[in-house]
Amino acid sequence: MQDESTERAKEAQPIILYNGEMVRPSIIRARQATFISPGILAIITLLALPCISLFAVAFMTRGQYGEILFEPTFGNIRRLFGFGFFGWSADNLLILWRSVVVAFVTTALCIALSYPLAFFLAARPAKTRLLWLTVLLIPFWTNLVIRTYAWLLVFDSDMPFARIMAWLGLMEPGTSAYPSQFAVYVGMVSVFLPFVALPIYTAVEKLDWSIVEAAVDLYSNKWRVFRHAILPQTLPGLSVGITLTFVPAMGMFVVPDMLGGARYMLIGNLIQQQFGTSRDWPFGAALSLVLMILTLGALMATGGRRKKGRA
Amino acid sequence: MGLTAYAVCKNYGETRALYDVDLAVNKGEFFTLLGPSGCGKTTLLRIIAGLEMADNGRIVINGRDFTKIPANRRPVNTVFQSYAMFPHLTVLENVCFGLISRSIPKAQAIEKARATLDLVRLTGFEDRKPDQLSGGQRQRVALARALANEPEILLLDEPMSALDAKLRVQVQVELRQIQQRLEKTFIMVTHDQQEALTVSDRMAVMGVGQVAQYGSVREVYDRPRNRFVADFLQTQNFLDAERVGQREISTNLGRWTLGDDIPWEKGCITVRPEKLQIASDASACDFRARVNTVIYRGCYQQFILDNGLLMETETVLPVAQGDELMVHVPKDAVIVLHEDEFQRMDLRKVI
Repeated sequence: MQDESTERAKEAQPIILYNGEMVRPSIIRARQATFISPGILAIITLLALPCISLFAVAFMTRGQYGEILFEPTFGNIRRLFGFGFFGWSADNLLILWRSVVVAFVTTALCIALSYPLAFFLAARPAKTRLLWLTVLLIPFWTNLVIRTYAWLLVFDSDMPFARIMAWLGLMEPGTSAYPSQFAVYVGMVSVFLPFVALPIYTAVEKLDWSIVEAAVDLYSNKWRVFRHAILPQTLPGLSVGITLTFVPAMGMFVVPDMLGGARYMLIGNLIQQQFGTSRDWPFGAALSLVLMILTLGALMATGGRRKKGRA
Repeated sequence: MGLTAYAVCKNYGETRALYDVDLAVNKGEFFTLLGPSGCGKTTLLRIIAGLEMADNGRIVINGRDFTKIPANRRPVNTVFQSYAMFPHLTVLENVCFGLISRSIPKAQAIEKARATLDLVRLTGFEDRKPDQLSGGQRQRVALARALANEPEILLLDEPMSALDAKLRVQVQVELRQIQQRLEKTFIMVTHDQQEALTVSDRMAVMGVGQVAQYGSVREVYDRPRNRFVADFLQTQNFLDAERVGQREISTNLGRWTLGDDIPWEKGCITVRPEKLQIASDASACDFRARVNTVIYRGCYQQFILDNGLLMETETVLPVAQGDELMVHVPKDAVIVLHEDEFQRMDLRKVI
């Protein structure tokens, strides 16, 4: 009787040849689990747990001295949508909206600059191409704060840029080009350009030029060549670039803080303020939650499009 | 009319891809550029398409000069070697592409595309994506995509190199039939002599950057002009010869009388293996040779003779290794090779 049942179990779990040894599938699965478990453990403790705690804190109350009181409330969410102590104000929503716009425009500018840049790089002979790539990457290797301070120097009132702009009548003489929206965009684009340019460059390097030639051969104008021969082939690189830019650009706080001034606040600055000077962690957590939801939405939008493009 | 190319030159840095090439293709004929890889045949095709610009020379299509006009405004279309399908578009959208580019109304473009797909026998595949097609089907879509535009000249860049041998033969015949039905000018590039012979009316054999010989396929096959062409078309047997009379030569196999005049004192001749015959009696014997190797080929047989010549017989004969054969060389089988390497096309004669 017992023999029969063990026999049946063996039948259900045949011994198979795997990597040169005879084993049962269940043993293989168990072994695989041991290999991936450290990674899963790291994701749970270092990513999932903090996010869950953030979610929890977002619904708690701030104590008088900035401590977190375990009293569930929707106050933070209400405050986020503008229902404050002094009645409704659009400030928070405006900051949110502005963050989305800045991230969107930054991404668009980076894409517009990246295509010509990628084709320029791909057209260089192998030797000089490495040099140009290094030039593109040097800022990438420099600390973000140092780089942003460098922009402050460039935009200072005594530097050639401000002087030329003043001479052209585009700026008040004697003033510096920051803080301003313009300075924020310059700073943002300089941070994120490599993130878009490099994936697009990789795609352009592998471009099947015969498809481009086919489009030209079939009477296409420049736009049609781009739309049907270049864009579909660079789409994987482009969507990587968009993800790598749009998501962090929405949470960026160093650049807008230094180049945009106190009046040009983005959600990143607001969150930083809550966790820092204001010591209002529950409200900061609520803001972070909204930012995460927005990024998730953006990711799903680009991911969905990628799937559609493949089908 | 058709196409005329005058003195086309193309250099890539130090390398000369094309050196002063003249070419004339008649309207409605199937013309093939045949040559080994790196001879510049594809470059010449790309210059005709406008995908590359010649350094020098002129390209005239049906009497109009197109030398400086870019590819998207030339009345020619190309079937690319890799087919170059738009992977994100369906078969129908691919075939419509050129028509839509020229702002032809969508309904009309679709109608034309469907008719062309019908011509290449691909009805029912309209909504497939290129990656859902087999190699042969993709090749036919590429052909339909080019033909739908009704080009003055259709260019084919090694269109069958990606197909397996059996399918290739079938497609060659189909391509020939389509060309004859449409009566359009086709110019094809290939390195496969069998393919060139099967499909074309006339062909040009190209050497390095120059035309080695042009003419009707029979002319070129039966009378290769020089050593390079003969070698490329695999005439196999080459012999050094000396002129001893008006039409008489002396080789190390004896004295032979030929059907052609001989343009040199000392030169080279060639004889195709299938032209050598076994002599019926001693009076018809031109030379004797021993059989070194017998190769059985199914429907024919090859002998490698002890003097180095290769011989082919249509029927399988009871000949064994070591047998002595009496070989007859028919008068018109001997091809006298010119010493010059390249032939210039007489453009006035062709037009």
